[in-house]
Amino acid sequence: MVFQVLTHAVVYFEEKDRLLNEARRIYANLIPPNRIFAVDSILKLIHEDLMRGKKLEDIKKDKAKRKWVAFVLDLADELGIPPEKAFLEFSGFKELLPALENFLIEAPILELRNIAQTIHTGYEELERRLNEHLSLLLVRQKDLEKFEEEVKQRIDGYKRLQTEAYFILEEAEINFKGLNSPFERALQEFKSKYQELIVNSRNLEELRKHYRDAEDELDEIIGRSLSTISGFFQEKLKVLGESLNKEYKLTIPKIDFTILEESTKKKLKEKEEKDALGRAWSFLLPWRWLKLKELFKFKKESASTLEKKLLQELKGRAITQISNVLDKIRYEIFKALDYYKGQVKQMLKEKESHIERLRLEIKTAEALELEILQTEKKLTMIQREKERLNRFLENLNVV
Amino acid sequence: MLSKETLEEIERKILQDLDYQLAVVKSEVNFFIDKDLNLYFLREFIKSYTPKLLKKNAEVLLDTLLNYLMSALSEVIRDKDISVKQNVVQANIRERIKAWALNKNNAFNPTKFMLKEDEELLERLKEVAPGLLVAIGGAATAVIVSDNILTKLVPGLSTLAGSAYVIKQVRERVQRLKRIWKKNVDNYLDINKKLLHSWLKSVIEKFHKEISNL
Repeated sequence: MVFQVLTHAVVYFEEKDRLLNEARRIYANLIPPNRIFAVDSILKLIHEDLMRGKKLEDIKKDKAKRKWVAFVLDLADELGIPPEKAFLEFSGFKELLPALENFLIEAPILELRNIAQTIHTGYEELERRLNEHLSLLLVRQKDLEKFEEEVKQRIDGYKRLQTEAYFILEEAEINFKGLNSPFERALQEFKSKYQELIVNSRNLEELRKHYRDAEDELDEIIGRSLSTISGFFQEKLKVLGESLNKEYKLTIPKIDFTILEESTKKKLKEKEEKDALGRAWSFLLPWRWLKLKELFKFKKESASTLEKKLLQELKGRAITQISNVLDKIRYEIFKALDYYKGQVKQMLKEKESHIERLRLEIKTAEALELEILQTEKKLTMIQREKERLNRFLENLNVV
Repeated sequence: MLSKETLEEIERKILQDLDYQLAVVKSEVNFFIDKDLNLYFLREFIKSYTPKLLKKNAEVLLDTLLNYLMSALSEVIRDKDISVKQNVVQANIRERIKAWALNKNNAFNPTKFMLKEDEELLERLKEVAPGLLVAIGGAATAVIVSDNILTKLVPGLSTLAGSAYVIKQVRERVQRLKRIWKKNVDNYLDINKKLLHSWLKSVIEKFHKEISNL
């Protein structure tokens, strides 16, 4: 997400700072805090009207604007802000527009820099592999016997590496799975904490807050676990003289509390209507009249009763949702673990098969010569491209 | 490859874990039973959640057990020749044992959870205060009764005393039902503890057999 804009800033004027802070806290990992704004377009429209020379009396004739004119003038008076500046001031657009303009200029450059950097890193890795390949080809060109010996040594080395890697993968399983793993403990603690908070919520607002906090905390647990897993593999592979090329991209299961709340309301409403219809029909039966308590059933339920019912229903649904989401998260994290394990296995296998191919496929002196030339050519090309990229990156820094 | 003592020690450890896990399940389910939740929801929730929780915990316990077994095995072969290590690698023991343990013929499947039903009571909850007393239980009952029923729903009606009496009765029945549910949970966990124990034991035996063949 690039920007987040909260709307109707003037409607929630008293709550604005709190909501902004909350949004900055919740989306801290996704959006920088200086890209989250609260704006009000009505105030901006009023400001534009004023700039065009419209009188406040005329603006007030517009029903949608009338009450906000009075509100802002009152506020401006209280804070000592000149009325002609107040509308833009409170609209939030004064901060948003320059930020958007800056972003429009900076964003493409930033993106270009990232792309160029990624290509550069890719070239470096390719260069490393080609150099390794070339050194082996040169050994073969000089001395076939020594080459065979080197190939044998490397294959043995890879086999040993694969055995060592197996035990590293075992260590990963022990660290990240089972009752004693920090990940499992974090999930358990999270579950008990939020089950208690949700069930003990006294009203809808409290429940919403706990639910949003739960989502934040869960994101943190996932982020932390994933970086621990990737860190573990990076570190262990360094010991084996290797490095991971790709990071795992996790799909984080999310629940939208607004959707949960809306669907619960809808479900309750449908149930109410069905019950009311049933009661109306049964009331037509004379013997039902004898039951005095039926009379109460026509009494409309108060708003607080309805909220209580909604709260009860929502608590139940929230508990079930949290339990389901935890199962999904466990599944996703284990998938990430399997991904890294797979990467390590594949990497070592590829190295072994590459060297085997080299021995079996390049048989004649001419073929060997050609392979050397082609590898050298590729290396020169990479060198040239890297220099071009460096120049390009330097120019971007100037901009 | 693993001594009898090591295997016994592992079994003892996993049994401790099993006790701990079942205590967590019990306190979690009882926590919900004690709370002021919609009784229909609570009934359905406990019925489906408890076996689901057991199944999930069984998987976590299986991983834990395999961790114990694989750690012990790694320890034994740590200083052994590379060929011995390669044999273990080739055998891919963890994956194979796990696949075996979760295979539908060997997997742990919790028994069906039977919870004492009281349809009459649930119906009555509806009658006493339509749409309101669906949730009843614990301290919250008193709040609901005094705040809503007496002051909002039936003020000044002659049935006031009657309603209050029925509510009291219903509240007692709900409490009684909840006590029975807790006992149902206890019995259910006891039965499944035995099943889980023998399942975990069979995994240890299988593991031992497999590595003896290496």
